Amino acid sequence: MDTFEYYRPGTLAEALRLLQGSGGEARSLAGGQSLMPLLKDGILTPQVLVNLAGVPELRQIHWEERVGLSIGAMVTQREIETSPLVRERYPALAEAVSRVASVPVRNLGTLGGNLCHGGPGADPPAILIALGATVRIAGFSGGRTLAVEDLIAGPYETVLAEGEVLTAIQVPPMAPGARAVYLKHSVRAIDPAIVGVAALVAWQDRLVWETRIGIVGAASRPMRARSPEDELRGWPLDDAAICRAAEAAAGEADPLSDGYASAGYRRKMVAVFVRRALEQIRGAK
Amino acid sequence: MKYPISLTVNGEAMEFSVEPNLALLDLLRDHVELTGCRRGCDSGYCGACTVLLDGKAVHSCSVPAVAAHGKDVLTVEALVRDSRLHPVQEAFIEHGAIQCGYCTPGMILSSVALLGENPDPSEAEVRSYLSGNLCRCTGYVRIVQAVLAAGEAMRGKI
Amino acid sequence: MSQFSVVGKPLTRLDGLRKATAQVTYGIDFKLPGMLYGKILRSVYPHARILSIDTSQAEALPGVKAVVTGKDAPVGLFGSRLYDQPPLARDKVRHIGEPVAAVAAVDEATAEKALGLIQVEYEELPAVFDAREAMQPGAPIVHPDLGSYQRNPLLCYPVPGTNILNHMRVRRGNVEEGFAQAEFIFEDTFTTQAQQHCCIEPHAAVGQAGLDGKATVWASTQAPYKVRTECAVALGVPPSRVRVIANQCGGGFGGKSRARVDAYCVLLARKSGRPVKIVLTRHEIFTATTTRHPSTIRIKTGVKADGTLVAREVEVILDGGAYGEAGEIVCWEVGQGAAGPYRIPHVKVDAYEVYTNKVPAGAMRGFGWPQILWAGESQVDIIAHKLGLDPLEVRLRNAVEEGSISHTGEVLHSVGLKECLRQAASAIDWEAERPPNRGRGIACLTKISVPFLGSSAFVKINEDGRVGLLTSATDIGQGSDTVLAQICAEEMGVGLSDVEVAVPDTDTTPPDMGAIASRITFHVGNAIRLAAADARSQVLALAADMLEASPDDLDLAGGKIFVRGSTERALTLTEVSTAAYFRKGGPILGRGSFLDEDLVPTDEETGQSPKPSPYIKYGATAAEVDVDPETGVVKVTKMASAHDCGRAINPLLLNGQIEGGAATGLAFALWEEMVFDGGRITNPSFMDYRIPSTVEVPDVQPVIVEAPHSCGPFGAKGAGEASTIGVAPAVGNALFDAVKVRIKDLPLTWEKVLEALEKKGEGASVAPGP
Repeated sequence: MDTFEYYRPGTLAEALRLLQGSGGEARSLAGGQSLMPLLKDGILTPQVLVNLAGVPELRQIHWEERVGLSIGAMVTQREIETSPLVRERYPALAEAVSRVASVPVRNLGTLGGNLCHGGPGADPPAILIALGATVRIAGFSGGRTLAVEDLIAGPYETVLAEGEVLTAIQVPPMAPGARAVYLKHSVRAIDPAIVGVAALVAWQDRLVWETRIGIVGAASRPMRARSPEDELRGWPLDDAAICRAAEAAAGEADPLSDGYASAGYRRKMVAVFVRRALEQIRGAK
Repeated sequence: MKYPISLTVNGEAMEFSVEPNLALLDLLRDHVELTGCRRGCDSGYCGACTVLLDGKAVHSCSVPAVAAHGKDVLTVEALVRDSRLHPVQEAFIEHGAIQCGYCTPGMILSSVALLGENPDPSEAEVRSYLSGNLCRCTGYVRIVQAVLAAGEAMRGKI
Repeated sequence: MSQFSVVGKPLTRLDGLRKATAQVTYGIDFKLPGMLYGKILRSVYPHARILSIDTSQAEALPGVKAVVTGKDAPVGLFGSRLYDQPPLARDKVRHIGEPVAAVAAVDEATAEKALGLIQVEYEELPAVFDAREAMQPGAPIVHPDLGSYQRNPLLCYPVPGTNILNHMRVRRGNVEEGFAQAEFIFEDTFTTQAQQHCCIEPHAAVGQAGLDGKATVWASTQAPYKVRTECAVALGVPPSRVRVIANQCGGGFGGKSRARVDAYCVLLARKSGRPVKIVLTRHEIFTATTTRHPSTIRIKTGVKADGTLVAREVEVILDGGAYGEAGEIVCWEVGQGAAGPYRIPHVKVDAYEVYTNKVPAGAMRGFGWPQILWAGESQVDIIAHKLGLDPLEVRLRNAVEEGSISHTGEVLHSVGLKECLRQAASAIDWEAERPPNRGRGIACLTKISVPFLGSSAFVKINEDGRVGLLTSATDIGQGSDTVLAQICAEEMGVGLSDVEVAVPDTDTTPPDMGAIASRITFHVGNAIRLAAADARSQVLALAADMLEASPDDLDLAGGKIFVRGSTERALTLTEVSTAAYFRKGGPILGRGSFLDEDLVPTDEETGQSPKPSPYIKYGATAAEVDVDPETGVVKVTKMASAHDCGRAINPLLLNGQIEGGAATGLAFALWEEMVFDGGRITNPSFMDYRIPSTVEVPDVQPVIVEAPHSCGPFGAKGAGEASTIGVAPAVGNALFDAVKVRIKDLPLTWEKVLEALEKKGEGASVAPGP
């Protein structure tokens, strides 16, 4: 791969300054697991690489009552999947993150890096959408917060502007009694999902009160599937509702074809796995 | 432009001056001449390049050497202590888990890391943990057997 | 097995410790002082004339020390039995990725940059990418000079003026008569995809060559003597001017049975005056080495109502890509096997090896037999199910046995097929209850070994009484060093640890035709037995002299030579060999060479021969699958792979071979496919070409059946490829058993399975009628 300038700033401000000041030729280095192959193949040729590993606040993971979970962008996927905090409060998040690639990749790969790479079939966006997560973005002109479903614009494309850095992922507390599940359908375990479905359901008086469904593989980017949600809200989580939701999800899907699967197959899998995810949630209750 | 880095490799403190586009794999192979970590796919799948970085199994082909500054690297060459093999190495030999041997160091290191984190893994846990180390010769059957046996041997010694 | 001291024992491999501690040097590790790095410029067109190549700018780049093109290797062609491949392209290129030039520079980056400075002017030619199209009149001709190529006429029957580089025929009985006698006739067409070896070690070599013509190659190879020949052709020197030393090879599977980079290393080394190392990138390996043959196979079978096979007509079309690359032998072999390991009186096979403008298809573990057995064994189940018979019973009814006559007219010997079928079935609980969506399938597997490839061995007794074993067999992971050492130890009456296996070096270790065709145990093992017998007789002669006895009264066992019946008068092997050094100035050296002498070439018109190949392996694969009817996922829950390999010299290593081969066979069935867009491979990386991990491959149960072969060392045949062969049809048959869908095109992707399930649901019928 071509060479580049390399920096390892100790503060976020310094990182932003480096990224902003390079005329669009700078990229952040997180875990490197997605970036390195692209550099080696010459697909990306940044002039400057800014390693964020030295910025302490990006490595924090903490929980606060009423605020929820805050995961620094540079927390590794392995740290997340093994964190007692995450496993206790958001087991579906731990599960989803544990499905990414393989252990060596997750030992370095970060959640922030995974989101910013925007790879189709990446597992974390689905569960984060279902959990109602947001991302915190820092830039020289100030910060902004986005829903995860608004971060990724298309395959390998985010809405991050030049010089912006994703600093944290924030996951609100789950409603009392809420259950979430992530199901991955892939060829090999280490492959991206052909379709990955995450669903969260919270009840009130036995009726679905709150629900979010996040799907990867159903469109050109991770999707919040509102039409199945609409089929569930206010109803008991019974076979009829689940069936309607699955059909609605397939109807809302507009998948891509690629080397893993055709659009038609993906659409069918959306229905199957939305149904299975909801059945699993119902079963767990 | 070269950057100075220092890291510990197999217990020995080392300093280098490297271009940032040098992968840790190449630093170890070409500058330290440790051939146990190997180039296989150069894209983060096969795991022949696996080393332990601060105790964690990583694909060294996907780590810029500059990013390893200040860290601790362990390669398979460090597993032998006082001319004695690590139990994982012994188990691999005994169980016929080695054929061409090219994936072996990476497999062994990942297995060492696994047993360090989870001393009594189930077969499914072993398989899941080793999915980042690909082998074309063995079909993995004996590798899994060897790891389970090594775990048992190591638990017996505690 | 217990009758032997060393043979038959599950001993740990000799090189295990070295490999576990990384104390081995693979081809990719090797380096020399002053070494340069080479890169290869490759064609970007699938079919084009080369009008000009201008290397001047590349040569002028600082750091570049040599550039070579076809002009530097103007004479001679590579090949296995058909010599059609120039080391570097001369007047035209025939596939994307074909080597056109090579550069040696002080580092890889400079070499890579230099490639971009080489100007090649091409004139594109019409190209053909489909084998059936390539067989049609009017198709672009990939090798207009096919008629003039040197070839081995005993195996290779090209049709000049066409794209058919081999047409293998087998004719036995009269299939029309057979079909007339049949009560049911089945006709089905099957296809298979390109697969690749994916050795984890990339192809690599270091070459050194002087202006005096002497060249040395440090290779990572399955066949040092083949590399020697090809480098000599490239350099235009006699073969013995090239020395090939085998470094440790990180996997071969057929991908390293020829010189892939070695010839460029020596050409560049000669021109630059410095050693040159070339390592292929994974992208280059995918796009520009070799693959398994994609194929289309049409089978028409006539049977009786009780399942007796009466006639089988098979047409096999092998898509050979741009060069023969041993595909001519694949064709010759599959012609003989395409009708399956069954007693069938009327057989007609036409197997075609066809040129197309794609990356060459060549040797890959299984060598055409996974493809033909995918077709034949899938159809046996189609037949069984249609007739309401148990698939296992149909196979047992028709399977060959000791003394059966093969489709080529050979009286078969060492046939453990039925026992393998029974044991494989039993290993997966063939009869047990099946819950919904679970199925079981079984398939025969068989393979011949390539004929007319010899081996030789030297057995040297060192002054310390330990035995040196010198052969050119390369241990590419299969454990041949250990197995051959076991044979040697058994013959010399010493322990395994008393045998020192030499590194193959074509200047000193005697010729061997390579770790291919599952041939090492049989051929090198036999050569070792002969060499050991020679060494033993020299030992006894010298010992007789020292003991003042007659050699006929002496025995050699347990490292001692003693007078029969008298333990007092004895010498150790060490004493005798030391005496040889001091009395004769040299070690006791036994020589042996082996090539099966009663082989008879197949008849060109009919394929008949009383003995076309040294031996035939048999076996059976049984698989149990769970199918998810909503997703099409096929999960293999049990797999048993039973093998008749004659005799297991080392059951531990043999089991490892069986398990590994089965994993590759399963990948062929379910996950791996090289996807072509015209002449271009669209998935040339480990991301997009999916080799299975620990999570995907299930436990494989190896089963060893021994039907000793009278010509094999201790009865052994070979085993390396067998377990790759029967997996796909076993899985396909299990899939049908589970959910009643029959898919005829590999791989069995989830999507294909789901589509087939949906079609079935719509009432489409699958099995043909009479």
